[in-house]
Amino acid sequence: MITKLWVALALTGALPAQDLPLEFLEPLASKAAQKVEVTLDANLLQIASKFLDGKDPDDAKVKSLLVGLKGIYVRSFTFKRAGEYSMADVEKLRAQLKAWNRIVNVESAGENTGVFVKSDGQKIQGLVVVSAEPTELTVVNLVGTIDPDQVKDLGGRFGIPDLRGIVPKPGRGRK
Amino acid sequence: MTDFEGELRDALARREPPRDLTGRIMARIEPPRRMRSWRPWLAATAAAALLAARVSRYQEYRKGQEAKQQVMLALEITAQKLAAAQQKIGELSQRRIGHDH
Repeated sequence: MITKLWVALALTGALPAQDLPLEFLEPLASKAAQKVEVTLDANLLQIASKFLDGKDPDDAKVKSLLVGLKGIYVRSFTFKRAGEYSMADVEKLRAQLKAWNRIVNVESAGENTGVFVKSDGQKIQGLVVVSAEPTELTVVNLVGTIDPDQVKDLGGRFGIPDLRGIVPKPGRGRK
Repeated sequence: MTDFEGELRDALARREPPRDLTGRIMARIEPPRRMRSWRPWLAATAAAALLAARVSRYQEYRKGQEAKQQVMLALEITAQKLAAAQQKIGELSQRRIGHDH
């Protein structure tokens, strides 16, 4: 019954396109001193794209990146004190990413950053960044096709590092 | 009585109007035009439609601008986190190289 409902919702497009369910992070929002929540589905990305000036070189790069994207989801919570979120929350996130390729994992001095991608070997099909610091928890989920070259092109504007070369080939990387 | 007096009397003599005079006069008067009541309604509807179209366009503009700002914010946060991760990797690599030597 529930499966049928999900199938029906998927067919009507009512299901969120995000790869990573982030609803369980909602309780953290009330504890956070500052929060940033971005929820952009394909429809909103299309609208945003119309408002980017194709003649402006930076806007044009963002616009071309948005072409392949189906969704952008960000949850960033800043807390007044350390310990206001538990590592169990982070583990819950990571557990949902077991089928993804972890391309970066940095652990140092209470900080833990992981970058995960879904890839077909040519292009990134989804990107998740989980950054857990003592007083800040950030989760970014870009859904859709991401060309590392396009991401690199945004470097000038956003300082995005070069992702080329770290996109794992099919069958390689941690699964 | 002179001829003039006779003529004057004839001219001023009371005469009854023809019986159908009222009918003939009324028939000549054009019937008053009815106020066409749909005109103000049409004008009001057109004004409302124009206003609705402008409000809709403005809302679409606001929605687009907000979506654009959200895209920029999301990419900025993504960039910050990726750059921070890359910097930490760089630092750890440097430390490792130093340790090996």
